[in-house]
Amino acid sequence: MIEINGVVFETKSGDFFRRKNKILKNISFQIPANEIFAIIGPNGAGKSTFLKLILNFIRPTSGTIKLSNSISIGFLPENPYYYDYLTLKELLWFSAKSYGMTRSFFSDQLDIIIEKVGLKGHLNKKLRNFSKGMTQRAGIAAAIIHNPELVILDEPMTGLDPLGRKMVFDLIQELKNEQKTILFCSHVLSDVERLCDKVAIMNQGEIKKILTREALVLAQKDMEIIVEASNKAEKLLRESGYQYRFNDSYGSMYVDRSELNSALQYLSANKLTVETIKASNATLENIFYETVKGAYPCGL
Amino acid sequence: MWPLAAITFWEGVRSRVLYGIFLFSLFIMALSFIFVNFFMKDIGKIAVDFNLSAISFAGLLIAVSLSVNLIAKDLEKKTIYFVLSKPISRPCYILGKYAGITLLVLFAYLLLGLLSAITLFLLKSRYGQYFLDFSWMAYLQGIYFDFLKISLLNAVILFFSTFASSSFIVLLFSICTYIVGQSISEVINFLGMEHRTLIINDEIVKYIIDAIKYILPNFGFFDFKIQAAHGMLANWQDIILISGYGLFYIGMLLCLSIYLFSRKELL
Repeated sequence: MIEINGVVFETKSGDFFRRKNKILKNISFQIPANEIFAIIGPNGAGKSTFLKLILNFIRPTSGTIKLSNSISIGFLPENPYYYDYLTLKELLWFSAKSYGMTRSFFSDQLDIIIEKVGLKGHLNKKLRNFSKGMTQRAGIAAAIIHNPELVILDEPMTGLDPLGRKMVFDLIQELKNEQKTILFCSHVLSDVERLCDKVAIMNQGEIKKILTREALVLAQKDMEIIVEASNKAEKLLRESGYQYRFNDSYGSMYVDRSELNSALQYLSANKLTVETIKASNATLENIFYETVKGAYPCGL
Repeated sequence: MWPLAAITFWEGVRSRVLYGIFLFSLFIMALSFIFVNFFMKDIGKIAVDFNLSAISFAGLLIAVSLSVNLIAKDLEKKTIYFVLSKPISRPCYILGKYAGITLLVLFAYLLLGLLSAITLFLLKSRYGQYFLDFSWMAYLQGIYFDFLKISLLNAVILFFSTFASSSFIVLLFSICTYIVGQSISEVINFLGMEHRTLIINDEIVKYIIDAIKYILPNFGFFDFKIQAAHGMLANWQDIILISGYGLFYIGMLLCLSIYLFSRKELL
């Protein structure tokens, strides 16, 4: 779906002596179709700049970005500002019309989308009277009204209350069920680890780490039970149905706090020795902090 | 392109600035009922000149207040990301914005033209003896040339918007271009350049003025208010020449705007 190869983006700064600043450094990865891919990173990591490259608002200094042929894209910008003299219906009409949607298809889609984003009853209201959360939802509606194959969302949870966040969360899941490809940037790690198939951690213009679905499943478990390494232990952990990892010296079983008791009972029933129980290092939050360590001058 | 042109047109129609401009123009037109009484013999000429000036001034205000913000506001508020993420290419963006503002100016000129025609009709009915030279055709030609002038000014504004960093800079460049373009003919006439009897001997000044004459659009070329006031019709050659000049300049400015905007990094 999207293939990024060695992308570098530089800008020039300074009034007299123009200095080159590397905003993005040698970025390469692929986003397959029907996947939810998130880019996380501290402020100023280059996430939004990267999205602008994909959308061709800026051009890479070197490297290539390939998108599948004639793919339709829906985009939600960060902190969107729309033509506030338009009503929601007119905004969606503009979106639909620019994609060449017919009047009847637009009418059908309008009701579905408005229902999805929870803005029923606000269709004829001017956007200047919308709250920040409502504007965000209007933006999401405008991004998906034409039923795009690729949806790019820049900080979709920004400015939303818990209900709004849940709405966006459910909507992204629904889009995935509809076989859409979703690329989004977010700071809300809990949502990212629950939603995504892959997560790229970006810092200082570089992709530092790409986490796969397996790592993300582990990341959702906040407790780690360490057991001694043996063939029997490995076999039992495999059969247990819990998430686990094994190396030469020990085996780790990853569980939620709610699963802890039953997991311990399982281990004790099978006569496996528990060496330690500790908070998991594999959570996305831990991986994120470890990866972007030193991003801020204050030492964070 | 057309959805963008449509919402640009709506932006103008819903703008309070436009209502202010309309009210101001109506006030000036209404004022002509009183004002013409100061020029008894020339009531007809003054009335036409006064009404055409009101329309021209309204067009200028629309260009200065609305066109200046067309692209600059999209860039400042980052609405451009929303628009260009649609299948709207950058050339279509420029053309859509231009088509929208041109439609708005056309709408304003039709409305103001109608209102000023009512004003002139009432004055003509009251002071018929002073309207002997009056010609509706010349009056319409005056409006048409002025519409062409404002369309050209809008293209100039759009051109500056593609590279200037703020709407204030766009406004400044556009007003300077308009003032120089409006007065360049008079400056050339004053210096006697048309007859090659330069009253100043500095060759460099001559070349600079020559360059300005050819580079900047000559807005004075479109000023037909005096001819319209005297009921003088422009001949077909003039209409074709002036229309061609205006359209050529507009086309050239739009091409340049598209070229510059297509190269712009929207960071």
